[in-house]
Amino acid sequence: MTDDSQAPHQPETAPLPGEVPAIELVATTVGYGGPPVLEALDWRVERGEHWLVIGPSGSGKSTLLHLLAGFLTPAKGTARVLGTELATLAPPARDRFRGGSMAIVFQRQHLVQALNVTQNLGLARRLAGLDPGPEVIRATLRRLGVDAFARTRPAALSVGEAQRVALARALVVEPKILLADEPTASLDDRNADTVAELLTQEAERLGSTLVMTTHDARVRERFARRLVLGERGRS
Amino acid sequence: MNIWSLAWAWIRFRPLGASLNVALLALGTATIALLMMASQQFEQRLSADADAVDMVVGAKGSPMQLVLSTVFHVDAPVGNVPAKEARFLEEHAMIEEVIPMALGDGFRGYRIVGTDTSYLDLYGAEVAEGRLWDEPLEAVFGAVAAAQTGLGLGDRFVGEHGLGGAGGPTHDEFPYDVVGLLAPTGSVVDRLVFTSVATVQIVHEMDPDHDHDEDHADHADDEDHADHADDEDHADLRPPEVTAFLVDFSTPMAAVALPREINQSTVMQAARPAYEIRRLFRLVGYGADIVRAFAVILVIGAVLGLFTALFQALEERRADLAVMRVLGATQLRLFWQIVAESLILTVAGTVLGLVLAHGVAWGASLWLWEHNQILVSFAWADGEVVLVLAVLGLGILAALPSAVRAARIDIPRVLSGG
Repeated sequence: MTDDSQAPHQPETAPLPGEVPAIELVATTVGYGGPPVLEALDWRVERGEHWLVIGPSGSGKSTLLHLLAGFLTPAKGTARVLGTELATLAPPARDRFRGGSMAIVFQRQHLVQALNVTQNLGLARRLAGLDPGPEVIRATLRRLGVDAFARTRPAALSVGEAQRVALARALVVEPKILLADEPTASLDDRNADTVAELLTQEAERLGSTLVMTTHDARVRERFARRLVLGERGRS
Repeated sequence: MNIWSLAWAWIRFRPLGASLNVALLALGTATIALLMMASQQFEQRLSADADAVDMVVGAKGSPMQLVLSTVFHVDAPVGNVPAKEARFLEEHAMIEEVIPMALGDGFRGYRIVGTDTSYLDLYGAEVAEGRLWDEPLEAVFGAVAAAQTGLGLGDRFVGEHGLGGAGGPTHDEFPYDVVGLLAPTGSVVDRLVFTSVATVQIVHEMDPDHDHDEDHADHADDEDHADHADDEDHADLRPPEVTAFLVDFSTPMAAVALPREINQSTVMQAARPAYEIRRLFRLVGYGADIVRAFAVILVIGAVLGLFTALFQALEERRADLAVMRVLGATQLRLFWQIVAESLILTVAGTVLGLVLAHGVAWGASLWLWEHNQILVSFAWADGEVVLVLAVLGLGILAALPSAVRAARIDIPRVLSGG
């Protein structure tokens, strides 16, 4: 079931006629070798749209993100991201495509512990094929309110601070598509609200397409468009 | 944040483990490098001493002992030979030069060599102070012998039977005058005391205490020795007996023909230092091989330690690696990321090992020069490039299992905490 009722965060400009959608799934079935987790899913996301993916545990929310990131390929149907059918790309090309066009925020921050905050962001830019961009890094940290931790190692950050740094790492590559997998699940109310707000604001500022999975009722009202997954991912 | 800076950051993140890996590699590398340098020094020094002489001719017996006693001066002489045999050698068409040597005495552990001054030309020795010996009972000291005995120009000393230095009988009636000191050569010359053959003859023929020391144990019974008093050649100025002749060939053909001719048709034996020294290397080589094997085991142990450390670190960094894939890193990039970390550790261990080995060698060379005036080079051994390449290769090999594992990491499972 999809719900695209009007909501606070919408792209200011409607997609141009004939523009390639950000995401297009056509009768997509995907799984991990056993029974499909998502089955015959049709879904179209225009560029710049913000979508919330909700559903019970096991409904395939994370699987959907893994599919969009190119970690999984559909068993049936097609999955196009920015007009590219990821399954047709060789693995290295798929990795480069992912690095150059999208970013992912996870429930856990997964920051590289050996690097400080600035270095974590620098690594992301490097792997995305961008220049080091120290100014971009500083500006991103400032916008997310974590510039005071520029030289801090992840181990010294609180969970909320670390999640904002993880969000900064995703944003510093200025992704066309921003995927967020339960990014607020491990945060307290105040941090969850802050991260959700930053996520939507920054995605809107960059014009990025945002797809966020969540169980978290605290952030649902921020999204107008919702993809509700049920059994085997049927919407 | 390129591949090397990230590898370096990971290394700095586990300083103790990384330091241990580097230290173990350095220890193994240093041990092998030191062995290589010592072995090369040993072989070069012996070869340089041996290469100066084409052939040694002396009393029949062990050719190895003949070479060790007359070329390297580390063994007792085999015996004496009639000095008249020099004529056979001097007149031989295949021989360019014959240098007689008369041995038997020493001074505080340094051998007194009765010879003519052309011996010094074999090793490029030059006078540092004073002059060469001319008259009987004049002596010239090699650099190490002079420094260690403390004797200088104008000093007098008496020879002792054998190598001396053990409180044995001395030739008190025949004191030597020190007339010259030689400059260091880095060869056997540095450890010798030189005088004329005639001096050795005088000391041994006229000393009432002379009873043929152990070095001459054989020649008392030598029939040539018994005969030599009646030999007509005894009438000339040539001493009736010498210990050996050092021979310089006039043609390379002599190397094949001459030893056989001398061994079959004279009372003497011929020995080729180059051949005997190769035989010696083969004999002592077994011992060096055992030490080298231990050093190789040390390096292999260090590489296994590196393998274990990388594998353990990989398990701790699975999330980091998975995130790198999410950020756009290819499998190949992760593979090289692990190899790069291993290479940094291996290069650090190898460089530290080489610095350690050459530092120890340098210190040893200073100490040897300071205390013994022995010139030892701490130059690179020929095999060190191979050693470096081998250790680097092993370092890469140690990283391969972890690198392959890193490249094949299951991103969704790792990032979902599986």
